[in-house]
Amino acid sequence: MEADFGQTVFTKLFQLLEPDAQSIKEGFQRCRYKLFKFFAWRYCEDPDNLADETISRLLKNVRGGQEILADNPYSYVYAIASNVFKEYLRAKKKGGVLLDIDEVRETPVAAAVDDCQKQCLEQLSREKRELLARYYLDDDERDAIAQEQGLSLNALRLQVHRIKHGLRRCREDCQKHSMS
Amino acid sequence: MSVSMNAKTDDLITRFLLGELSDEERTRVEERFLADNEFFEEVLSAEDALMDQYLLGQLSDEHRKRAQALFHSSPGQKREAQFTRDLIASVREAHVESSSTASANSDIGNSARAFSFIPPGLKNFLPHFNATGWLVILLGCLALMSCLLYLYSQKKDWEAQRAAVERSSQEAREKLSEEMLNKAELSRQLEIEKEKRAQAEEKAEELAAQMRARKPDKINRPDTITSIILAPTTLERGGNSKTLTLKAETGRVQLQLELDESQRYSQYNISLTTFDGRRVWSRNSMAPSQIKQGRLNLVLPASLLEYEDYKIELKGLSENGDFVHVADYLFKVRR
Repeated sequence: MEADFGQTVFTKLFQLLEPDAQSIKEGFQRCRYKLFKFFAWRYCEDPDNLADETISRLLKNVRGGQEILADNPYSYVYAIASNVFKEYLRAKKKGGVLLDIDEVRETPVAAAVDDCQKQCLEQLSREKRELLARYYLDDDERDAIAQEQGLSLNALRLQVHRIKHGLRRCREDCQKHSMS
Repeated sequence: MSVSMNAKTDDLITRFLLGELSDEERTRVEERFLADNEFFEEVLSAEDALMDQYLLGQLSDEHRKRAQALFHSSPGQKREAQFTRDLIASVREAHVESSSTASANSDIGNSARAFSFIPPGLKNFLPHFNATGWLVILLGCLALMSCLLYLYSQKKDWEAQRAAVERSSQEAREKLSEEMLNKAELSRQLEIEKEKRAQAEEKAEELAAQMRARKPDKINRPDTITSIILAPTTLERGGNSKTLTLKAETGRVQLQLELDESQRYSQYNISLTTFDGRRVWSRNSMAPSQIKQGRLNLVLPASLLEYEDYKIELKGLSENGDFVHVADYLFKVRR
């Protein structure tokens, strides 16, 4: 009974937070990724755990009867995430742990190429591959590409971001597949 | 907010990512990207662009440090930076491969891209030129273009000449190779002829040798005749039998049989036998014209006669039509 209730709360919460998502799973993943970025963009060392902690508290509070405003459900999420961040900072200060930021490893880029990356690149359409090539090979080309496609530079960046997002997922799947 | 951000928003997002916003501004941006998926995607794409600039070394020192802190703050962020680094490497690697292939087929029209080596930073100098400077640049460009056109036309001429030379060289090579083939064929035929001739000469020599070898036989051929006159005998194996000695070179033997000319017959039969009765030779119906000076001459090959005692019986055709005994002749052959 309690499990059913928990499941219902979970479903309702992510339907509310991500109404455009195709599924509850997708809604959950999108919300989690936003929270991951929320903490990452605050330079947190472990944004994954902090995102999970936020969602955990959110579910707990909703199960406990906390109501979430339908017109702006993320304001409550934001409040919890901010609290989690404050706690993180306090804990960090207590532990005296400094941000351990590695120096950038300027390793030759070609050495880092793996098979999955190549495979995923090959799976892209010719247009997308050419777009990436032009985008990354010559900075000055970007304006020309945007002009040719009738896009603003930001829209072009968005397009490249979407291609990269697809590639990232492809590579993750490929790596999981090769490991299994 | 629409997909196409204005420059102000873009700047705001970049400053947000670099940690340059006030708390208030930051809160606004954070609340917005959490609630607005499109805006979240724009922030993500701005982060991608910032990452590109960072990895390509296009940020100022201050921004590079902040970007470094952002992209190396957590394992997740590092993974994303590494992903972009790999992507750039892959794209460049693929470009190097494709451009090395394409360069083989490239024409002069593509050579304009060769000027892309000019660093983008040089563009910052352009606005400092005055009108004269621009005119000089324009003239320089025109001169360069003329030069390129001239070189291009020269290149075409050279290519045409080179093609013609290559064609004629190819033809010469073909002709030479054809002549060499003919020569080889002629040599081959000559060799065959020489071989044939050698064989013929060898054969001729062999024949000549055989001829030379046969020559003594020819000398010994039965050209020499040994003659003997035989008188009729009445006693068998009589002591008066003559001996005919045959030499190696004796080819023929002439036997002269003495006859009584008072007794003439129209025809004669003659037989030569050994004393054992073996018939060696015979002839019938000999005309009496063969008898000359009281002798009937017979010429026989010497090879018929061996070391033996022989008897010749002569018969004549009588008037009543019977052959009657006329005479016997005895002789010995010795070699």
